[in-house]
Amino acid sequence: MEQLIEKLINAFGPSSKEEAVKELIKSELEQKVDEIREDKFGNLVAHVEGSGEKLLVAAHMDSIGVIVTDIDKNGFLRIGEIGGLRKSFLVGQRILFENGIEGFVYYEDKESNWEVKDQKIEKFFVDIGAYSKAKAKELVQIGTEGIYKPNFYKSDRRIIAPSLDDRIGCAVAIQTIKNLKKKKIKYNTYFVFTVQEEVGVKGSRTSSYEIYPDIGISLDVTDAGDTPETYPVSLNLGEGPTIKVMDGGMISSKYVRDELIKVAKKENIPYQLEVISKGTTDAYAMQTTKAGVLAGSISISTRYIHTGGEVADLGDVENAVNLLKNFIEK
Amino acid sequence: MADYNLLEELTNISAFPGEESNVHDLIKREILKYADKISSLKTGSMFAIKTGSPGKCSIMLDAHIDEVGAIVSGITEEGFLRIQSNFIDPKILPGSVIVVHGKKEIKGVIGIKPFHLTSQEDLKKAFRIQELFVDCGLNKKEIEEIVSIGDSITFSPSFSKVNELVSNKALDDRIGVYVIIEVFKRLKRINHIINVIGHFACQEEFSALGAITSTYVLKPDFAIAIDVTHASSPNVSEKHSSELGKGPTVFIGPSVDRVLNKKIIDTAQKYGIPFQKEVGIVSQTDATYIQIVEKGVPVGVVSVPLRYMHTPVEVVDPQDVEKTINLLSLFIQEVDASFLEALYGEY
Amino acid sequence: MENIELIQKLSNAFGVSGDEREIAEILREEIKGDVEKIKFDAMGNLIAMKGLDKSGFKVMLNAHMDEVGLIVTSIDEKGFLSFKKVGGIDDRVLLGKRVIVGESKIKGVIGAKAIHLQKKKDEVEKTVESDTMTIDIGAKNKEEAEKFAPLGSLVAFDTKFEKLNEKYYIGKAFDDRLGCSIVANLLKYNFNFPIIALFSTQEEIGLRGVITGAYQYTPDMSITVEGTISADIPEVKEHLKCSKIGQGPVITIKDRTLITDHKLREKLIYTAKKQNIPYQFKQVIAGGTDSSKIQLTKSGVRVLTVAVPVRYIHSPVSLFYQDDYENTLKLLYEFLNSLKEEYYGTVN
Repeated sequence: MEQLIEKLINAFGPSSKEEAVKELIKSELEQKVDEIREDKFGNLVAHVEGSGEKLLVAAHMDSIGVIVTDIDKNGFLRIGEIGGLRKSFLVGQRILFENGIEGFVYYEDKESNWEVKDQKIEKFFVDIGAYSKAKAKELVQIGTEGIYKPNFYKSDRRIIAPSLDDRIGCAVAIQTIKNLKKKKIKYNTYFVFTVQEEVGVKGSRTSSYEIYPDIGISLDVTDAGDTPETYPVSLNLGEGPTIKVMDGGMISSKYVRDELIKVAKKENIPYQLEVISKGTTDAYAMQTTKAGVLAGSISISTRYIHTGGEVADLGDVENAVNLLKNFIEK
Repeated sequence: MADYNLLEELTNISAFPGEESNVHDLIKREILKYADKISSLKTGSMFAIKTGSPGKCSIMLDAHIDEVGAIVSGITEEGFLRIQSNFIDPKILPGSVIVVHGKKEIKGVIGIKPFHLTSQEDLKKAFRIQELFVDCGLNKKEIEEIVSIGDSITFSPSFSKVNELVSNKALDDRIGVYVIIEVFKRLKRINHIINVIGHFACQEEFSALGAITSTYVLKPDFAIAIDVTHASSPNVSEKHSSELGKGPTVFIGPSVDRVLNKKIIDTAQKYGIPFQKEVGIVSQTDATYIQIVEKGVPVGVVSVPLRYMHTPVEVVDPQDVEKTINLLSLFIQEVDASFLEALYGEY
Repeated sequence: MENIELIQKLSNAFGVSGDEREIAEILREEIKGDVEKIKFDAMGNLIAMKGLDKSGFKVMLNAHMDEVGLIVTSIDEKGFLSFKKVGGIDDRVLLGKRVIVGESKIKGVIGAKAIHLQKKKDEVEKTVESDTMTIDIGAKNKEEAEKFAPLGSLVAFDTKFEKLNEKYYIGKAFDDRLGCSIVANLLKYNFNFPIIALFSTQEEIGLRGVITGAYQYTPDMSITVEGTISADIPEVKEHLKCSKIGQGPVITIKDRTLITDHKLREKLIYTAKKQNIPYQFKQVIAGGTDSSKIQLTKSGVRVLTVAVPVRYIHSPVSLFYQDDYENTLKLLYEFLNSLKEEYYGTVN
């Protein structure tokens, strides 16, 4: 699975510009699903037919990123946020822009003595090695989007890379589809690779309206509480995928949560129960669609989310695939 | 107040968001004789309908079943529980008795380091939720047999009469549930042209899931949310809140319907029911979410003044509750064709 | 300038979030001869439609009718009104201003303590918070005040629209009466597709009215026309000016609530270049617009946000430049005129 994850994190896809990720996923799923199409909003919808209730499984294709808001007379770029950038981790990052141009993020350091004190986005800038406004404008425009430069590293069973949020969820969905035994499928399943999750769970909202499933499951990343002196969260790498109880936006449907636990126990798949206080997933938008959708989530516990080096465990990813596959099959 | 026993029963039950079905049987038992249809929804909301005559339009009275609480977020090596909550001020927790809803209900205490061992400086620091823990008097092995991460926690109930006032956990918003049940009882003796839907909402305290999805299902023509609102006390001045004993509050502001509000206030004035005005921009109740479902629903908000919201010692004045029931019952009686025409005006 | 009377009427009218009736009336009068259907909905939105016989893509034009203001929350024994802000307002623009209060349009002033009476440097150099300010309507006591300004009365700035040298205009509520005026004007023309104009309510208090309007009359694509932040004044750094007066219509790429449709935006820019209309981008990610809600209606709508640059929005006096207004109107007209199926077909 690591090659799949590596391919996915190398694809360029900040919110609203997910085309490269879409193409990659399409090529991975060719011949493996009954129908694959793009919906009105830009989500990629892969349909695996089944006779039972309608299930929507969502993983988002977009990553966080930056957007050029100004180019000054010396060729320095000013940037805005796409999604929830953690500004403490922005300075010192390599940015890759959509046309292949790279840059380095620094900040207005007059007052600060080598420490980034005032972390407002307006104090940061990107140096793309251009020496004038005109030169910079040949390379980027106002509105050009950029991401943390992809950098995939695997150490035994752990992966270090930006954009595991949520390419790892996409990988779980793709691998599940590949592993599914068509004859055993219990749900009429729509795998939706959503757009613009990081800027407001948007693709999920419109897709849930259009498909209007009975049950919804989002595949995403979640916190980890196993690093030195960190906020107490009972989630650790390597102890299994998480089954969501509550996050910052929603309480999972008891039914979905209990069904997932049942499957995990039956198949001896390790799992963790997830309770976090901030952040949410595509399931949040599913839950309030029309008369309501029973929504839950399977997540991969990940360290340092929204930084240039997210860390997750491959064992958790493989177990997530197992859990989802067994949930969908009889 | 007509029925202290019912209110006590209603507030003693625990129903953290997502666990509203705990209260369904009680509501059904009370409202069965007075409704033409009762049903629970898969989201955890519940509704009852009394048809009117001719019953061409419907009003939805909305109150939420869920109460604030916490969730078990971890279990320590010694068997203490870590908790997470987006709803409660952690400052009220030290020294409380709470109930953990595991495989069975067990009690626990939230204790802190003794006074004698705490420095002067630390005495001034407010606790944050991640620094608190629940002691159930069990070791790790014992507690893991009963409790797991994700189990809910609610305040231990302690219904009491505080002189003429009433106090317990979850008056927010079981008092609204109580009001709707009592209104339904009155409807038996009232002629009303509209259908009345009593909507007992789930998850108001978190995501307004009930308000949003039930409105889509029930498609009311207009709605009134019955919730609680802040009443004055030391540190909460009258300038910024309502007062106990002066009647229900009617929300006035940009996000409620002008015509509907006028009718509610006219009804109060016609029958001499004291009421207070609560001025705000966008109300913090289900009404805000109901109003923007599909093509829109005219809404109003009528609230019972309440002190110490989201604590185990919430306090209301039973007289305010009675007046709220009167106001809503009479309002329903007063709804006539000309009001409905004015409500829907041009559209 | 062409629509100056309409802009003047709209700017001077009273329409704080929650009571946009006066604005709706003016707009209805203005457009009734140009459209086929006019409707109101439960949130007070004004919706107008034309070209209903035409097939194909429905295009929505949206502007919000409401303005920021205040609401009376309590009255003291002496008849002074306390208030809360309706919409986002910097407390520091409120002191010593004239206001219009309530349905009876009573005049009032937000009083400020005379500087002679302010103790020492501390008081002089400290900001006054809006919850300690009061409105004086010249009432003798609480009872009299309540008669004229009952609790819940909405309060607007009392600013008269006027010309300020050559092509500059000042007045209140250019956010978003300028947008309303532009949409009303565009309705005078006929285009190749059905047009739905959504004049929305309660935008300033959470983008609320637009939700029900767009649900009931869902378009395929939509353009929100706004009056947006222009902070091209001294003391503001170059990259934080957001937009500049005189540089033409402001096209949003991203704000706090949405990223606009890339293909439609490219088409808009192409139109501007082709017709030699100046344009600029909104260069600070700030504020939110109705388009972000229209975008998420049902299965989704492709949206754009275009605005007239306005200085000092959300304060008693804002300022715009005639050419910017006219160029915004012109750009939208030319864009709509050139829209063909291929540009607003399916995504991809």
